[in-house]
Parts: sequence; C-alpha cells; structure tokens
Amino acid sequence: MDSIREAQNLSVYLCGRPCSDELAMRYSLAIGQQQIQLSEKDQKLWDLAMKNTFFLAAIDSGLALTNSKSQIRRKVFLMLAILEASVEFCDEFIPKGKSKLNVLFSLVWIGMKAVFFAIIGILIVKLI
Amino acid sequence: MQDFDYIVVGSGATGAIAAKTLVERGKNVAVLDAGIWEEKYRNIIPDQDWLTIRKTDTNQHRYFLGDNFEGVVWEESRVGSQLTPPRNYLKQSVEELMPFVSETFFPFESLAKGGLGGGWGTGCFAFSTAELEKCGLNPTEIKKAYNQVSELIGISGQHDDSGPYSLGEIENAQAPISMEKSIAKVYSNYQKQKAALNKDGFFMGRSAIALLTQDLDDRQSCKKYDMEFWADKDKSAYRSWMTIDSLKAKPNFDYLPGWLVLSFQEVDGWVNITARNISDNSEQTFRCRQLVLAAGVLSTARIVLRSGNQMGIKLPVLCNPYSYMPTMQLAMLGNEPEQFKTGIGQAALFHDPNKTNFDVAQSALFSYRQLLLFKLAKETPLGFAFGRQTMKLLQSAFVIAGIHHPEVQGPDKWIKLEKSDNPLTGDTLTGEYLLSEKEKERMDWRETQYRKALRTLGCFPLKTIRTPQGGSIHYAGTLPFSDSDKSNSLSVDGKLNGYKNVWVADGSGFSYLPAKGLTLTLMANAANVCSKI
Repeated sequence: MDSIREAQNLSVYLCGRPCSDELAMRYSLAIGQQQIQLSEKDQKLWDLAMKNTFFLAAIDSGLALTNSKSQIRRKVFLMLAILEASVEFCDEFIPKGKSKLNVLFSLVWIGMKAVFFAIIGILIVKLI
Repeated sequence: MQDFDYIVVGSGATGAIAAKTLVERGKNVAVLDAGIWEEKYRNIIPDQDWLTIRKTDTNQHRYFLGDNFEGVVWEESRVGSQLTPPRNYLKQSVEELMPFVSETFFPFESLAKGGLGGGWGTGCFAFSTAELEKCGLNPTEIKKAYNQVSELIGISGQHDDSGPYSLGEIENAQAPISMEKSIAKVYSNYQKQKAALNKDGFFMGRSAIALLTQDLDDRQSCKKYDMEFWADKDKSAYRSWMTIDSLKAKPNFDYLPGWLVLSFQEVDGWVNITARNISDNSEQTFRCRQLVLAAGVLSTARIVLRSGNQMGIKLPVLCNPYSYMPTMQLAMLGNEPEQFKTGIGQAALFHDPNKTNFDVAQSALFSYRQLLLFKLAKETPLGFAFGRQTMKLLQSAFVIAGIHHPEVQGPDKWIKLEKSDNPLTGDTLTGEYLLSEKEKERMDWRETQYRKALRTLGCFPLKTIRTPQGGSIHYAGTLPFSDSDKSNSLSVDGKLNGYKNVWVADGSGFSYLPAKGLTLTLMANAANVCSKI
C-alpha cells in the first residue's frame, strides 16, 4: 500500500476522519526521510492494520503494551505529530472547557475502549 | 596574528556578561566564539500567541516538527534530544567538535552564539551567604553583582516566601508576571496550607525569572504568547546573544565567530591563543594581554588541560542531580485553555528542612502545553488514538515539578582529557559521575518529601523520573577556588593559578552546587571577575 493511502487510514484511526492530500504528502515525505524499516512480522501486522481501522486500533493498542518501541508505532506516532501540527486537525488536540463529570465519563469510556482494543491487539500480535 | 587587549572565550551566560563588563570599563575586547546560529525557523514563526498560531498558521509544521522532522523524536538518546527544532542549533556540531565519552555522565554543551543561554529556563536564584561561602565565592561582592546583573538582563519577581531563596537582596526587580490559572491554583492552595508546609520545610513563591514585565532597551515586556520554547520575538526572556548583539555597536568590541579555541600559552606578557576555524579547519593564533575563559566549565577544562599538556589528569566536576514529577491537579480538569500565558516556570517550591537556607532543594512548577500533545501521548501505555484523547482531556490538569538537588564533590565525579583520533582536536573528554549510596538515599528522601508536599498542594504525582547525570545542564567545579596556588585551581578573584594573565569567569571555580539554578550566580561571578581585571 502506498504511503498516501497509509496516511488516510492513520488519520481516520487517530482523529476520526481522513486528512487532506497535503498532510498525506507530508506523511509520505516523513516516512521517506526517517527510513523506517519493518521486520517481517511487523510487515504482516502492518498489512493487517491497513485493512481497516479496527485492526489498526487493536494492533497499535496491543503493541503499546507488548512492544511500545515497535516501528509500527513509530509510523503511527509520526502521523499523529503531523496531524497535530496542522490547522486542519488542531482542534482534535487543543483541550476544550468541559465539566469535571463530563471529563471523568469521557475518560472511563476511552479507557474501556482502550482496554478492549488492547486485548484484541495482544492476541493478534501473539498469533502473527 | 591579531592582537587585542582582552579576549573572552565564549558568548554564553558568562562570556556575554564578562565582555559587557569589560567593554563598559572602556577596555578593548574581542569575543572568540564558535558562534553557531539559526535563521531557518527564527524568521517564519509568527509574532502571535500559541493558540492563534495553532489555529491559523499553515506553516506551523515547519517549526513545530522541523523540515526534516527533527522535532519528532522517537528514541530519546541523549540530553538535549527534546530540543524544539528552532532550538536545535544549540547542540549543532558539538559531537564532532567537542566529543565527550562516558557511560555514566551525559552533559549537554553548546557551540551556539549565546551558548546554552539560548535555551535557558530563565530561573534566577540568589545564593545565600552560606551557599556562596561554600562555593568559594565572596558573598559581599556577589550580592552587589546580583543587582548589576539584574539591572542588565531584567529580572521580574516578588519578595514573597520564595524571596530568601530567589530574589535574595536584589532590589531592582520588575513586578512579577501574572500567573497562569493552573499555577495560580497551586499557589492559592499553598497559602491555605502554608503553616503545615512551612513546618515541614517547604516554602513556595513567585520566584524570580529573567522575563521582562516592563520594556528594557530594545526588549519588550512579555506578551504572554506562550511561545518561549520556540521563539524570542519580543525578546522578553533574556538570552545571552542579546547582550552580544548589543555590544556589536560599541567601537571597543569585536565579535569573532567561527573559532573553536584549542589552547593558550603565555609569552613575554602576552597570551597566545590557538584556535581552529570550524568552517575550513584552518588554525590561527590570536594574541591578547588578558585572557578570560568563559566557555562553560567542560570546554574551559579542555582548554586548560590541553594548554598545560595534562592528558589523563582527572579534574573534579559537579552537576545537580535532577528528577521530575508529572502530577495531576484534579481541580483544573476540564478547564478552558488560556489564550495569553507564559510557559516559563512562574513559581518554585523550595525544601529547606533545617530552615537555614543551606542544603535546599528547589522545584520549579510548570504547566504543559507549548510542546504539543503528541509527545505526551507517547508516554501512555495506550494506542495513540486513545492516548491523544486521554491527554487532551488531562492536559489542563498537568503540573510538572522539576526538582534540582544540591550537589557536593565526590571521588566518583570527575573528567579527564585523553588523546584520541578526533581529527579536529586530537583529544576527547571522558568522565564518570556516580552518586554515593548516601547521596541516593538523600535524594529518595527528598523526593518522598516533595511527593507529600505536592499532594498537600492538590497535585497528585503520577511518577518520578530521574534524568541521567548531566540532565540538569548545571555544571561546575572543575577548577575549584583555592587559597593556595596549586595547578588546576582558581584564586578567589578568578585568576587561573600558575598563569599571570589568564582568568576564568564561568562556574569552573564553584566548589559546591546549590540546587537553585546557578545561571544568575554565574553571571554575577563573571561580572565580579571582570570588574577587577
């Protein structure tokens, strides 16, 4: 899969919507510059992650607990930085005023999702 | 060969003040400096506040991430790896030109114009009389010099409970900057819990910072744009290069960038200085009547050891151990982001268990915003999408306490210069830095006390992270002050023993390192040394 398509998938996973071609090109440039090499196993995981965002969320969450320095995570991290340093996605990173109750409920909900995806991800990482 | 009356080596916090003091005394002065500078990002950063930039500047990726994505650091290999792209020039060429090899000591040095002062956190802490005496400094002279430096660089602060530890006897400070909400909340909690905290030896206040709240010459008062880690648009935060730039207009001053000073030799009342051009590798000799070394303690040590042909001789070294605690201030959860604030530490929490203003630990308190969220997301054990959402919710509640511990000399804290195949200098500085078990126990105890105090202030510590030795970027004590004239030591007025016309104006002479940031005292000492030469 080309890096432009990778960027779109990562953007959907990280911020819930695809990014502009400009940001996708920036990701492509960054990947080229950083020369990230995936191992054979990482490549298999990456190919699966690129099939849909469910697998991407699971594999990233699983690796966060089992191999947080994985080169797959490095690619996701790079895209996260690119999205944050853009006008297009800055609102996804700048906190908004909210009630404490709202924050606590949101944290519980995110935590539950994170645990669910981490369990699936650990299984996938172990199986592949 | 070029001749000068006075040559100052280095343009950092001490070199700039040394040169300024000499120039104001009417001396003819040249500063020899590597002088690495950055223009790529400096001019593309808008003169706007952080929130506006984030929402409007389509070029923000260039300076936030770097054109080569140097700001997206995956593996933090060494001290300084988290510098922002516009500050990356501070470490440029250091590994090639000033190699340092150690398994236990990881200092951060700079060859930039303005030296490490280009990234200074601006905290100003006047040492107490007892601390100055233990450093080997003259308290009366240094306290006078504190006021001179304060007038020159512009210090703001307040004589509150931090007064004895920070402003000391400085009388010309500007009014303090208004606090951001998050730190103001901690300060308000301190006022409520003051009696109990004071009983345990904790004192908090709006410590002094080299940040203008009133205009000074061509520098403007702080606009609270919250961009201090990226730009110096209003010049409100003092940087040493500002002094160098202002001196360039003086007829009795020369700034000579591009030179790495290798060694010196005294010949017939002159000091001959050998320097290497960092662009074309050529060597040149400069000559002066008086040489002032202010290259930073490790570089000064290199020059002194090389000049005395002292390969393999061990020199002592001091570096404050540094740890930091990310904490959550739950009361700030869900708070609306502030448009105008400053990310510079505006308050400090001092631990003075004996209430003697000696053996004090110091913690600056910071919020987290300027350095972007993606770096925080990396620190969570979550997938990045969940890390982003979590950190976005928690960011307003983060308070980071950076704790400096006081430091004394020890047998396993040393550096030495060894011959090597380094093509530029033919040598490499090596060293070791190990704390004794007793010192580690003392740190453990301090950190436990800090965790308790922070909880009392409504900030719940998440973890304690100790940086590798060298991480505090506070170095001193390689050529300790001495009453005798033994080699590799300084007289109390800063003269390098064994030489007639060589002076040291950086922290090489300090025999003790209080936990309070030493930059103000370094500058005061430089002013004091150069007021007498």
